[in-house]
Amino acid sequence: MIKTQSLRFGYGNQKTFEFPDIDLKARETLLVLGKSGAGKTTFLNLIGLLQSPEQGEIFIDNEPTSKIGSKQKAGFRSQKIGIIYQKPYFVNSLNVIENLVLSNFLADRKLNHERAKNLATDLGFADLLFKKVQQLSGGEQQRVCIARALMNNPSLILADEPTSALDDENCDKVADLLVKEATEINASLVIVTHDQRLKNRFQNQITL
Amino acid sequence: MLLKIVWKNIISKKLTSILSVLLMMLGIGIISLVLTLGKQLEEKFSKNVAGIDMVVGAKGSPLQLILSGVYHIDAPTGNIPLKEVDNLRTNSFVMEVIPLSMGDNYMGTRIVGTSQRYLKHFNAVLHLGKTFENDLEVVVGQNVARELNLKIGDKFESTHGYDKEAEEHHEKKYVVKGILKYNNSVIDNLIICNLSSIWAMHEENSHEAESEHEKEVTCALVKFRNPLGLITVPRLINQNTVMQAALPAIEINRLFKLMGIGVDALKYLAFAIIIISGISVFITLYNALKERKYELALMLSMGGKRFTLFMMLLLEGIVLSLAGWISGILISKLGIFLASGLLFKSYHYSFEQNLLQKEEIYLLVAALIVGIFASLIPAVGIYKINITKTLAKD
Repeated sequence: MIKTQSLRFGYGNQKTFEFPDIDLKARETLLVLGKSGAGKTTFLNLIGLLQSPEQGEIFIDNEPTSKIGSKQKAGFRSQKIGIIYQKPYFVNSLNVIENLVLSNFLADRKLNHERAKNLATDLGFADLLFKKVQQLSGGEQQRVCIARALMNNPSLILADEPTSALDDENCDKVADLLVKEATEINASLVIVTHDQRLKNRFQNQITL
Repeated sequence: MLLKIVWKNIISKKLTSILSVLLMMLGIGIISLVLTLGKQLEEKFSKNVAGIDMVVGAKGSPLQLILSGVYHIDAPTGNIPLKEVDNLRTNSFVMEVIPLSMGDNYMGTRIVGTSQRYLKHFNAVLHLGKTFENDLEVVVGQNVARELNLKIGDKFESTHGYDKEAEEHHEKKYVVKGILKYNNSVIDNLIICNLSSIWAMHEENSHEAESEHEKEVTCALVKFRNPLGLITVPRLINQNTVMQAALPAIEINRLFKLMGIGVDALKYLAFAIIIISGISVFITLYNALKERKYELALMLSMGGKRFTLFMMLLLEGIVLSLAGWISGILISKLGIFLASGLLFKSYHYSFEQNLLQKEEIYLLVAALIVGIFASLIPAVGIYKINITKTLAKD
């Protein structure tokens, strides 16, 4: 669940973004569209609590977040938010399953290998769990990133251009998976993209 | 999990990690080895010298006199008349005089002619049998009995000098009467008999009947009643007799001072190596911080606390230096084990293996400090990472 109120963010004096309010319930999906430089990534960083807005308020699970310190923000990120980056980042010295349970570790939770295996089965990379992440193909890495974002059952899933590197078939698959998994854990899903293929699929859209 | 990540990170850059550990190992190993060897040598040397205030013998090098008379390492300086030695007893400062007569060996082990007081001086206790009473009866030290496989009642021929291959005295045979308990002193490596056994052996050999007053010994150990003796008696002897007096405390000090220069140089070298190991850890981690900036930013974005990641980098330095310390200590123990075997063969000296010395604990602390300092600067870098900027960069 996520709600924003009159968010504003500025880079120095030259560029200031004002963002439309959003209000997303559990199991709902929102597509955030816009040209490059329109502030899509900034919006994602704001609602992902990676950057603080100049003005406005963000409610995650009905809790306001503008007044809390950086430590509590880190706590929010680990417990309630799962982010899927455009580029698949990993801890390269760890293998696939270790990268997954890393989410649990960073959230101070018990390492849930069972959950990691189930997600891997759901997303179709169960046979790659003990491989090094560098050995995986781009598509496989993308799916591992999705699984990692789901490890702590967050209430908000943020995806930054999740399909830009994929062909039509895989684009559909990834979109299906995202919606399916988000619905399963009662999470709200925000997808930031300029991918035309997704526009036709999700009705709930805003354009920056 | 934290330790797992630390371990995996170390493994993932094997070569640089090995380099850091090797350098630390070398530094720690050298210092530990030098410390242990020096300490054990000093202990052995001072234990054997305990209670002996002065050694008198033929004129020559005082150090040689001490080494031969007290430690039975070097060759003796020559012989002195027994009469002169006995005269010492009349000096009021002198408490005890123990004459020693050397010159023969059995299979490389020195045979020392002396009196019962020599055994008493070392608090030697019989393990088996009884002590020597008559000529040609001997007691043997524990190491001798074990090494040469001597038992009570065994008979053997001695050879002249200190070489195994020298000429043998065929006419007479020594007989083993007693075996001493382990004493952790030089007598463990000696065969001991009375003075007249040695004379008997050589009279027979030279086929000359020596008269009573011509009897000679090699040297004598002297104990004083009070420290004033140390000041007056040696000068008296050196000026008025054919003998020379040497003070073990002074000669051994001189020896250790000579050795100390080399030991100190080695120590400085080893400390330099440890510092270089620290620099190597620093460079490894500093580069890693640059290479792994994305990973660290990723973990931060996933809600990881900066302190957790700070500890992670710090632990990498600590694990590396700890591994270096452990392998260094192991290498040093191995070195002492090997050196001990070597020394035993050539000098009948051996070292005990202590589990850990106080100094080695200090070395552990030093190694950890080096490890922590080397990783501190890279680890502090964690607090400077800007998550969004780092992840936005390509």
